[in-house]
Amino acid sequence: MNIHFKLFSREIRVAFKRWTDALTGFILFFLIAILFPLISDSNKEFLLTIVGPIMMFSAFFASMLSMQNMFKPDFQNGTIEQLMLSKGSFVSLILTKTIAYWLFTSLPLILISSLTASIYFVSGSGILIIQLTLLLSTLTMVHINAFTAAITLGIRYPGALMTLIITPITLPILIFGSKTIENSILGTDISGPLYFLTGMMMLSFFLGPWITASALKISMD
Amino acid sequence: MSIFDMGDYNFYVWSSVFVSMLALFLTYFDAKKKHKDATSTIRNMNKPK
Amino acid sequence: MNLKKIYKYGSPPNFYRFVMKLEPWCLCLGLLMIAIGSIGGLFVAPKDYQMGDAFRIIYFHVPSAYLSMSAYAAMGISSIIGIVWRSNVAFAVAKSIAPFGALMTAVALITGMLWGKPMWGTAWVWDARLTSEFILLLLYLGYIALHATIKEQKRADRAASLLAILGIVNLPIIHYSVVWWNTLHQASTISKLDSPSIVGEMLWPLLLMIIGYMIFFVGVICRGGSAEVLMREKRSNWVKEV
Repeated sequence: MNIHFKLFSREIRVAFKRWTDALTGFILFFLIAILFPLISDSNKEFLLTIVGPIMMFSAFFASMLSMQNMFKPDFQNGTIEQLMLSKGSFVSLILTKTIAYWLFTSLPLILISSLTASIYFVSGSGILIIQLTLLLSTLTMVHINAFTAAITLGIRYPGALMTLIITPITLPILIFGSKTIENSILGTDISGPLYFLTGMMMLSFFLGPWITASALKISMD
Repeated sequence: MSIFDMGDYNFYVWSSVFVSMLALFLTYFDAKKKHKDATSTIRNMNKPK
Repeated sequence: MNLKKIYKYGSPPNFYRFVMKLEPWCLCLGLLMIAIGSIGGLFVAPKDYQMGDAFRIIYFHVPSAYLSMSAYAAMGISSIIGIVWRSNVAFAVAKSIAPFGALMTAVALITGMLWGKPMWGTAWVWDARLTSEFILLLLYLGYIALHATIKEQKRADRAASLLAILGIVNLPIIHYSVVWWNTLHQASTISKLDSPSIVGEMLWPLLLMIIGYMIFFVGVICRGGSAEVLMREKRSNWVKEV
């Protein structure tokens, strides 16, 4: 357990040093959300119908923007190799790393989303539902991002390829996430899509670190 | 009226036939070309010097 | 005993010999079935009372759509075999399936559009099947692009196979999420022209076409896969004989 804790605190320290990564995603998330009412239509009903897709879309883009640097610096300075050789299991170390990464890049988005949601005239429990949806979906997306970042590690300009890989895999989460928000605003039952999101999150926690670890192993040799 | 005449849908039917057949033959000839390239590469490599 | 068989046919020389023997049979049989099926579909089968002659497009659309999905399944299965048994042959087969599958997906989309234009009035609707076919195309393209960008052969094989396996796990989820989204979003804007139970005269060319496409697919993969195996094994001794 000790090694996980050490890795975790190291990740946090490194993340503070590379704060621009997290900030870029954060700014992008916020900007997409406030630009939409400005360039389309700012009446309340319209905004309430699009808030779900906008939230999911901006979270998706924000997480995609910062993920290129998820493993790359550590890959170049040899940290990943050291982790692979260390005595803790590699899969659980990857899980620790992913969670630390999530804390730094996605948690701020969830916190700020209460503000952006109120720009869209969402009120009361709607904001909580949006935050819950974002929590579940970013926890799933971070594993998908980790896998994609790991598998494209050896490639010099992976941008377009990453987008191509990540979009089809993330699509169900985007659909169900925006469905949850939409249902909560319409006042209908949200349990269906919410259960789906939770299920996907569990699945990604079981499969994600394992598949990311094997992708990293492939990229290493 | 000939049997080739599909009425209003001539264009749609025949172009879809064309596209499908084109795709089938393209894949086959592509595979064949790859095979030919492979064998010729191997022959060149094993040429007695 | 089964494992032994896998090893036997999985070794490159045996695979090559077996496949080269299989290939002409598959091609002849597949082409024959496709020819008979398309003649049957285009000229023999009666006009549909609702759709007229346009329904004949399905004789070309349905087989390619079936094939695009089963090719992905085949690609995923051979990727699994490749990763589990580290079989070079399986990787070669998976790699040669990818462009074929992508092309079939594109054909399914194009013929679907050609059918939709006169029938629905537009070439594209956000129908569940169309959308998931499009996502399938993206998955194929991701596989091909990943394989092409990684320079080193072995790494490219394993990375792309991992992606294919993930895709095969994800494909049902994607499909059902799209179906679900679709049913809630636009219920009954397009009523799929309720297909009355298809009559025998219309059915046999379709079945013939589907099976013919499959067999043709096997033939093409035999050819393409064996080319890929040859390229990989070009330094070994057995290839000198061919």
